[in-house]
Order: sequence, then structure tokens, then C-alpha cells
Amino acid sequence: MDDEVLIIDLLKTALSSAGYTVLTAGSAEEAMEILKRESVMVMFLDLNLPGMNGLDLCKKIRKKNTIGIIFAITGYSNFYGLLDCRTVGFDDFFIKPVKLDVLLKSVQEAFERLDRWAISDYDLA
Amino acid sequence: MQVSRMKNVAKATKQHPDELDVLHQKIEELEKSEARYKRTVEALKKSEEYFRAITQNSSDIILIVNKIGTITYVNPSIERFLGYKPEELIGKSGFNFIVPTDIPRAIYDFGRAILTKDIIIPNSFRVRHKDGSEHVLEGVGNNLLDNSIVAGFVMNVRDITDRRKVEEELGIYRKHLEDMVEERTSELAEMNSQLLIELTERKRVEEAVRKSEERYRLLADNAHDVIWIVGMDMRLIYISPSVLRALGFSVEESMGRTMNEAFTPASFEMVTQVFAEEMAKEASSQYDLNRSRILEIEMFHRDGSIIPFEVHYSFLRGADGRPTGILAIARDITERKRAEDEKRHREKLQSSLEIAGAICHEMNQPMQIISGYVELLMKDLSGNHPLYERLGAILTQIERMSTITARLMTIKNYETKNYMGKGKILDIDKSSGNGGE
Repeated sequence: MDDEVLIIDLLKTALSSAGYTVLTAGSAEEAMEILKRESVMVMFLDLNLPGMNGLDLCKKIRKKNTIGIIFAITGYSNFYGLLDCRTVGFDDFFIKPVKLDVLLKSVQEAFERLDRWAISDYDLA
Repeated sequence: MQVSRMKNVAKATKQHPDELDVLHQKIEELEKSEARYKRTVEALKKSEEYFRAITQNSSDIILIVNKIGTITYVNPSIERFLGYKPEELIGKSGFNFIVPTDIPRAIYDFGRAILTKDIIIPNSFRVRHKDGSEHVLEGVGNNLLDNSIVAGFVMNVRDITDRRKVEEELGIYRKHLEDMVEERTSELAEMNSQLLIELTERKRVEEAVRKSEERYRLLADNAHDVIWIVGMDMRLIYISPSVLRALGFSVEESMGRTMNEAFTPASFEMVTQVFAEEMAKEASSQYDLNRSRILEIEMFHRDGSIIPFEVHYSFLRGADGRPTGILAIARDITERKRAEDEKRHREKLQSSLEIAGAICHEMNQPMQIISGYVELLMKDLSGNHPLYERLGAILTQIERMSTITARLMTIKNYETKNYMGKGKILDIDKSSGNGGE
């Protein structure tokens, strides 16, 4: 989820190329709509957004999804920002610009972790 | 008579020559005797005239009465005092003229007086003037009733009406004076006791004021702040010794300096203007007596440096409320200014850093897009493709930029460096953030 179309296009291209199914949203509200329909276990959320910001969105998601792996990706960073992110339930924190390889690696690790947890055995929907 | 005696002598001479000699002798003796008599009579006459003149012209009244008080002689002075001529009085009783209320005493005194002899008796009586007015006569009496020549009681009296009147007036006046003095004395006594109380009180107040003055002086003299008082003519009246520490000038040196020597021109102008404003307020009669003004001024230190002061100005006022001087309490605010400047500088820097952070965020977005697309392009190209290396160069530079923006976003302590001699810029390498260097 990012309000910057080119970033969404970039990440979608990179992740799709790596074989992942990618759902994109341009705002927190749009993301909430998708999550009502779909079960998404790995997420990238931009923090600085018009409307609801990434922190609040994460907080909302975490109320229903405590297992899914959620990554913050932001252009603005500081130590307190990191603490805030951990508090609301983010698993990791990336500062733009971030190398696509780093992102792909973390996505790969996330799915490996989910596999290890054998979450597909549970009905999470 | 002389001629007839001469004729007789000539006739007798012819008749009895011896007798004639005897007669001659007798005549001669007689003539001598007559001459002596004449001289004596002459002398007596002169003497009598002399005494008469004295008596007649005496300013005092000389009065002789017989043993029953009938006037036998009075000199003409009586007229001047009582309006009667001597002849109107002689043969009349002296008691007729005495004021009735004094008569019993007069009779008693006279009775006693005629029993004495050769003693001068002083007395005084009120006597009726011919015009009816009352006069007071005072005098001495001498009993010469046994003296064959005088055969009377001689009185020598004078009119003391005026004197008595004056004396009475004097008495009244004296009484009045005494009363006044007494009154004044009691007033004075009261005033005196009041003065004494006042004096004691004044001494106490004086002592209290002196102590208070000492206390204030001690305070002023030992204050860290510089305290000064100028008169309404802007001349320095007092300055605390702290001026030495604050400006490097001693009290004596400071007293000799003028305001425009002590203040920077801008501060002098400000102070002068504020003074004018305040005096205008005084004239408008709508003002607060206890108001004060706080000004930030700059003064010259002895070493030539400029010291900033915060000065609390207020008027000193007389009992009538009119300003008599200006009290200034000045605090050296060099340190405060420095801290303020530092704070202002920090705030400025902080906002600069915040702006830089915001810019970094904005920069990071396009950098992410560029680096991401370059990575995608490189994935599509084989490693030996001629463009692969150039795309790699772009990616390296994006990474470099990202390092800079990452540092900029976490800077807490900063250092600056000269930028081409045109000012200072942030030295990112030497500045530190919470993430280390």
C-alpha cells in the first residue's frame, strides 16, 4: 500500500516477477476494503499517507490479524518512528530508498516463517 | 525825716557841745544799727522773696491747716491741681474737699498726726476738683502746731491722679502681661512637652530612617545589579560599587562620566526618548505613580566592549508626588543574551533540520523509484550488456544519496564547515545522530 503510483508499480513488478500474487492499494481506506475480502499474510504499508496513516492502519489490521507479517516502508525515519512501528505491530521497518533485493529477501523469509508456523492448517478467514 | 534830723543836729550843736559829741556818737551807733537792720531786713526780704517764690512757684501744693483742719495757707499751685484759687480755700476746712468715702480715714489719720511732732507722715487722699472730678493727692505732713511762727500742720502734697492712673493702667497692663505670660507659659509648657514628644519621635524616626538608609545603602552597595540614581537634570547622584565589576569603572570614575559616554548611541537615544515619553505622561496627569519601564540597553565597558543590560527604570518622587529623580536597577544580561542567542540559534537549526528531514522524505520517494526501476532494468539485462554497468553507476549514486539523506534525518549534534568562503554549512560527516556517526 502506497499513495505513490510509481512505487506501487515498482513493487508490484518486482514481486510479481518473483512469483508472488500482489494486491495493491493507494490509500489506507482502499487497503481496508481489500482486507475485508482477501486473506493477505504479507503486507508492505507506507507510513506517511493522506487520510489514515500507516500506523493507524497497522493497528486496525492487527486487531483481526495477529499472525500476518507487516512491513513498514517509509521515507522518513527516526528512532521514535521505529518504536511507534513496533508498538502498533509492525514486524519490520524499511527506510526508502531500499534495494529491491532486500525487500524480496524479507518477503521470502516471511513466507518461510509462515510455512514453518503452518498457518495454512488454520482457518484464519 | 533825714532833713529834719539834720536841722535838729545843727541846733543842738550850738547849744551843748559835750552832749553833742555823745549825741554824735549815739547817732553814729544808731546809723550803724539802722544800716545793720536795713541789711538784715533786706536779707530777710530777699530770703522771704526767695522762699515765697519757691512756695508760690512750687509745683507741689503747700498747705497749712490749723489744729481743726481749717486751711490757713495754700500756695497758688493748688489752682493748677484742683481749680481753686488760694483765697477760695483759706478759712475753709480741708475735709470739705476730700471725697466722702475717704473722710473717716482722713479724720482718723489727721487726729493721729497732730499728736505727733517733727515726724513726716506720708499719706494719700482722693480730693474733689472744682470741676467735680476726682483727684488723688499724695503727700507728707509735718506737725508744726507748736511752732510759734507757723502754728499749723504743714502738708506738702502733689496730684498723683495721672501717676495713679498710669499706675493702675500699668497694674492692669502688668496683670494682663502676667496673665499673658502665664497663658503663654502654660502654652509654652504644653508646646514644650509636645516638642519633647515630637523630638523623641523625630529622633526615633531619624534613627529608623538612618538605619533603613544604612540597610538600603548596604543593599545597594553590595548588590550584584548596578543601581544608579540620576536627578531630573540627568546628572548622576548615586551609583553602586558594583559598577566596577560590571563596567570596569570605579564609582568615582562613573560619577565623572556623562550619559552619552556611558551608553551606546542607540541606547542613549532610546533612554532619552523613553524619558521624554514618561515626562509627557507626568504632564498629562493620567499616570500611575508606581509605574516602571524595563529597557534593554547597551553600555560601554572600560575595555571598550559593549555590555547588554536589562534596566528597570522608575521615578523617585517627593512628598508631593512629583518626580525628583530616576532610579535605575541594571542587570548584566550578557550570559542571558548568550543563552538566548544560543537557544534562538538552536531553534533555527532545529527547524532547518526538520525542513531537511521533510525534504529528505520527499527525496527518498523519487530515489526509491529511480533505484527500484534501475534494479528492475538490471535484472532484465545480462551482466555483459553494455548498459548494465551504467545502470550500476546510477544505482551506486542513488545509494550515496540515500546515505546522505539517512544521516541528515538523524542529526542531533551538528558541526558546520566553511562553504567556499561564503558562509557556513552543516558538516554532515562531523555531525552526529542517534544512530552513531
